[in-house]
Amino acid sequence: MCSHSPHNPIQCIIPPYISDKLLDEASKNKLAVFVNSDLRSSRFRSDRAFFNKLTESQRAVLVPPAKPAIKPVMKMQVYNMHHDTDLSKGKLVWENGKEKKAMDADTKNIVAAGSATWDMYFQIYGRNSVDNLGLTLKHYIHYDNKYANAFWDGRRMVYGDGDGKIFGSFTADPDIIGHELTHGVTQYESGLEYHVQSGALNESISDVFGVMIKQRLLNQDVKKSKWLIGENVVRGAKYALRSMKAPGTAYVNHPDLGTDPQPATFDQYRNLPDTDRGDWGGVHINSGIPNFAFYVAAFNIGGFSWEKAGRIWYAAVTDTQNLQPTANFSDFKNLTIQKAEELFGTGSLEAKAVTDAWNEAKV
Amino acid sequence: MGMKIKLQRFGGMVPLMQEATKHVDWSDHELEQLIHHICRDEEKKPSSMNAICHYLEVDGREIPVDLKKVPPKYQPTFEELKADLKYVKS
Repeated sequence: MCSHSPHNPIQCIIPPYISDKLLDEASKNKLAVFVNSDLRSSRFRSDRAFFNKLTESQRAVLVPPAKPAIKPVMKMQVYNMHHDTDLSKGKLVWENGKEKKAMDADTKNIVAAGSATWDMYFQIYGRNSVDNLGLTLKHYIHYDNKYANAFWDGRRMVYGDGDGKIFGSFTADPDIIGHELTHGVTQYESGLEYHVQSGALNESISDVFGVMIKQRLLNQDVKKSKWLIGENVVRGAKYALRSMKAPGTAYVNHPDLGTDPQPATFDQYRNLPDTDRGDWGGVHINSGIPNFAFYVAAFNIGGFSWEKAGRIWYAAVTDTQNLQPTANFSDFKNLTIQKAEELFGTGSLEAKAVTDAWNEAKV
Repeated sequence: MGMKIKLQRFGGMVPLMQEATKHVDWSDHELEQLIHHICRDEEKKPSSMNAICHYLEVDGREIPVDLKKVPPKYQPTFEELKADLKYVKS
């Protein structure tokens, strides 16, 4: 029954004259329903009256605390291809910290460098995986027979074992693993087109973040690092795939490869056919120019590359309003200078280092 | 009888050409059927970064091919060619 004040009848959801009427006519079975309904109504009114009396601050005390945001965690899988080329046939060997099979050297390499890549992107730049939405990182090792390459297929990283003569496993360097994952970052951000200058920028950005991942893993500052990409992948102590410090010197008079064709400065830019045979306009060759610019900027800023130079490059790479998919070297130069000024101030040492670096690369 | 075929590989993280040559006893008709089966669109933009591509050179013709489409009968020949690939120095 509704205990109401005759002076305040509207506090009842069911007016008292109706409930009294219903009660008069109610059977024993219906009585319980009405009483329970009235009890709920009474509690509801009582609560409402109580909350109406509270001040804003008193109400705030009663609001349950917000649940802490869930901290992103890395999601990663490693598949063994057992020399097949059909990625659907890969066997899961490691997933999110758990070994599914005994870990071989390549799996260990991937777990260490893949984790270091995720960590750097998250801890330094606040990025959750390549898509910034927690995408599971999927790595496929032992692809094909004696496959001397690694690639990003738009969703996954794939690594060959190398021919065993000129190249060892493509998992042997954390910078290669970071390089492939960074292709994913570029894909989800500016989507730099993979040909001519935008393609060379795409390649360079992968080398830049790849080398920073290696430097951070090894705790190397800009002076201690050798600034080499793939120094363990290419067999022989004096060889690597690319040198960011001195493009064109990663391998010189190699008995099988000849001499590294990368230019360091824009006046040496190689105009190659925009076809698969022409390396899509030399994306792996002309990347030496922006690679060199990053090296000079990071070296002149000093310290750990990922702390300042890396932040400047990351800000440019993720500025999808201003970094168009067809951006050229000059566009990227202007954007990195702008980002250095925004982050560290106009006329700052960092902004000057970035400007000088691009001038050094003759862009 | 027979013919000389050359497999060429381009692209990947190492931007250098590789090639390997082999003599095969295929007929012209057989070769044309194979080419029809494994040829690919050369103009197609890459969906993979650092991907490798292949060409088959026969009688002065250079045909872009997809080795994943090679029929089982010809796979041993292409596996041999792949194993023999040598870099052409820059």
